[in-house]
Amino acid sequence: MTDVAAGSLRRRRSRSRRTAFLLVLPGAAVLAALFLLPIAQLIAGSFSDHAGALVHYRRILAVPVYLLVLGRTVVISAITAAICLVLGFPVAYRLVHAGPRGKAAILLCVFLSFWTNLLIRAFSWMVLLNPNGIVSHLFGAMGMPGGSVKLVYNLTGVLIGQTQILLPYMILPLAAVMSRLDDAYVKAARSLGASPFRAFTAVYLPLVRTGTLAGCVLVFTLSLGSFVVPALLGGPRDMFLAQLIEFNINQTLNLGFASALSTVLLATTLLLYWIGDHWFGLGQVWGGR
Amino acid sequence: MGRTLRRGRLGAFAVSAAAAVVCVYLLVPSVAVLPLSVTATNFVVFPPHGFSTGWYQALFTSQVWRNALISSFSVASLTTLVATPVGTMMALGLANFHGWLARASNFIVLLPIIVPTIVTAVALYSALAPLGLVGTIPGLALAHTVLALPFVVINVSAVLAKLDPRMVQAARSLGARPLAAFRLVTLPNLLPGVAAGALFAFLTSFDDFVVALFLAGVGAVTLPVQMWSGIRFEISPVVAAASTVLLATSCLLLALQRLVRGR
Amino acid sequence: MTSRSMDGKSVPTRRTVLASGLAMGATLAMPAIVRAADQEIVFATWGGSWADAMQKAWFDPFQTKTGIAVKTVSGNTYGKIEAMVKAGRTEWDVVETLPDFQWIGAEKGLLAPIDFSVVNKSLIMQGADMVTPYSVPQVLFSEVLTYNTKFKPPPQGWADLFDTAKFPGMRALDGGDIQDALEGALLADGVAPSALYPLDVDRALKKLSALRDSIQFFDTNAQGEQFLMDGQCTLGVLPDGRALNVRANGGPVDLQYNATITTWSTMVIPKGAPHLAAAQQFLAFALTPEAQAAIAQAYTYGPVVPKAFDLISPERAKILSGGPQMQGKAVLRNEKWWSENLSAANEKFNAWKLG
Repeated sequence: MTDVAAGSLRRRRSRSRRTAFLLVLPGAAVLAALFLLPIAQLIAGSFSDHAGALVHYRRILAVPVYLLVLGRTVVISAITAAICLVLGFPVAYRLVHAGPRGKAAILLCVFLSFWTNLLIRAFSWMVLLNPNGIVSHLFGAMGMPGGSVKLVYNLTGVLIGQTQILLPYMILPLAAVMSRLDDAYVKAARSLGASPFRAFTAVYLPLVRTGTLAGCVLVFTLSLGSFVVPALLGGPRDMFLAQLIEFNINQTLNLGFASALSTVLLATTLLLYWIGDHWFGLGQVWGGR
Repeated sequence: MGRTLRRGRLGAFAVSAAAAVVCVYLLVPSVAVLPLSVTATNFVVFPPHGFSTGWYQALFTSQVWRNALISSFSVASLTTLVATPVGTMMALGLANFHGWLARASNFIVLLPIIVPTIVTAVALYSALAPLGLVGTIPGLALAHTVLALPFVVINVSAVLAKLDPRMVQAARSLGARPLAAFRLVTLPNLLPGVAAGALFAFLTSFDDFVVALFLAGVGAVTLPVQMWSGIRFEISPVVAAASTVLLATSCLLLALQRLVRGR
Repeated sequence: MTSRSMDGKSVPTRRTVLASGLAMGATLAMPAIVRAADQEIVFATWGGSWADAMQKAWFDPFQTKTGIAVKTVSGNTYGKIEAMVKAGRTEWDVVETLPDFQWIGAEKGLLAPIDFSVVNKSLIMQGADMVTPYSVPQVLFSEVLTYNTKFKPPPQGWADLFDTAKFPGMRALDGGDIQDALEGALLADGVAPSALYPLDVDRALKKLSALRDSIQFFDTNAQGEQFLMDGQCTLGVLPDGRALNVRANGGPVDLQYNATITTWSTMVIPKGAPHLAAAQQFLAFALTPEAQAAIAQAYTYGPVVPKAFDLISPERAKILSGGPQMQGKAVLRNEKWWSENLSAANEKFNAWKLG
């Protein structure tokens, strides 16, 4: 490469880096001023109590309730993400590979569920799933004794409600990635003799990886911070950490403790994110090459 | 060959059937709201007792609900208008980051989703109050932009990651300037991601009530906040009526869009 | 109780950078708030039909009498009050809260003192710290044992709540406000009402353990009403106004006044309220016998002003908290104890729920 060419390449590289920074700037400014700074203040607040810097954290470690609830929150959120993946995949696939009427129909379903306010949906499920309600009667008609399967105010209720609410967050990113996928790869695999199953697992799945990961990350993190569905549809054991945080903010006005709980939640997510990056290359989702 | 074809068709059928079942599952609570809104009693039971359109009457004659609807739409539209371009730019910029900077900034972008909304609400309140933006439409839109940004970035980034960089290089080598290459090559391919992101942004704002509850003042009560108070204290069927009206509107919009598209 | 070291101070640099750009937009968007001459007050409420009742019984007559309009706003959470006051941007003049806030809010310096030269303290009923320098009571309500009318003979008291043999079925208990569950459990366990406080939380939880599989917790009172309305639960502890609502709507329930815990709702003025004088006037108005009788007529909660009973018909009085049917049977809750111990009790309750 000649000196001129090398110089121009360097200039182009630094220009592109400058452009990259400029592009990121407005968003970064909004996040920094309106979000990062106040959150940092909140976290700092969790460490500055009269009774000592670590009093809140010691309480979290000493009283088993909090870590137990955190654990359950993580596990239930993970299960929700998995279910969303299994249920959302066929829908995303059909959305991308359907004719205009099919596309419209599926989009209608997704859109409609999105448009119904979260609270309405939660209450709707409560009414539908209650032991004297319609779903129970359906089960009874199908031969199972009506009251035997308890569908609400327990983990089942939480999963049914949470999954339905978070499904669109799995379907849309998946569909967006799938729609950019060239059919040619799968067709090539099939023409080379691969069974549909093999073509799917060995060729298609890896290609939609970024969509899968994006969807799972979205659903998982949204579920971690939620509290409406677990509160309304869950049983006593299905407490999410956000409920405890909300209690401490709105009832006992213990903002310091609530901040400490939030910091713990944040730290847990950091840890899981790091593991995800290590094991699944999560960072790839955002093109961090 | 025939067996593979049949297996292929079977597989395709299974996928379609599964998709159909899931779509019904998605629809169920939204559709169930309709009969709930015409119940004659004060109570929400399914199937409903009696029939009455009284709740719709109450809804349409109410200034409070009308204002709430307008507020919600204003805030959500503003949020989408700001968050979509800002988020798309962010995604484009982030794609050029490498190594630890990429990982760190990707995580920071995700933070508004990770942090429980109630905590974000308190933080946003303390940030916006000194500026006098609490209880105003622009203030709420600003707050919602913070919540919506991650969604836009995630959606655009996911599509960006699949974009073949060689296409842009090809365009450049053929003489296109960077901006033109972006406009003619990158942007059209990015559109599904941007569209999905914009949709998420609108709905995040429209659906949010934790932040809106904190930031709503006398001047900016959004629909979810109005619904929340109509649910929290008692489950009034007026809320079900409001929900049905929203659904009907969105169906109408979708139908209109299809008509305009012409297909 | 803890306090925070972070204050609502704004960082100068942030202000100069953002404020110059946003101030323009903000002033254009800010609603025109009429601040002159205390022409209106903002009342933060729980909303729903309760707010409608107050509109009829209090807000409209108040406006007719003084010319001061009352604007209602919902979302009256403590967290929001705190955020408002700390930021120095109090928007609300009067807030209705639960009684524990009388002390919690005062301790945190979030409340303005009540002007008792305007508000007539002597009219209010005596008992258990209902009036503090920073708050006045609003209305009386009670948590009452509610039962399905299919039970004949009906349950007679707290002990029957725990008798799953004689009264089978699920019990509806408030999962968020744990107070009733604990007090009810102790009373059922044989503790005398006078010896109830300080509550022996561990003993109450032990008693509740026997009932564990039969409890269906609700998150909002509306849910609780629903459970008893459609028969999911056959027994429950609900606010009396709610239980009466279920009955009025044809639900198969009745109330057992032998098992009653009475408490009250509170009105406070947050510190820095924009219309302080008008707020005090409103409180004075709401505590007159006429106003209290009016609200008791509009909604099934009891007056905190005994003289109001002179203005209420006997049939109505029979279903109100503080009325004749509850005399000698109701236990008045010790809200002061709860304000000091809510956090610790809730922690134990959560642990019990998980285990």
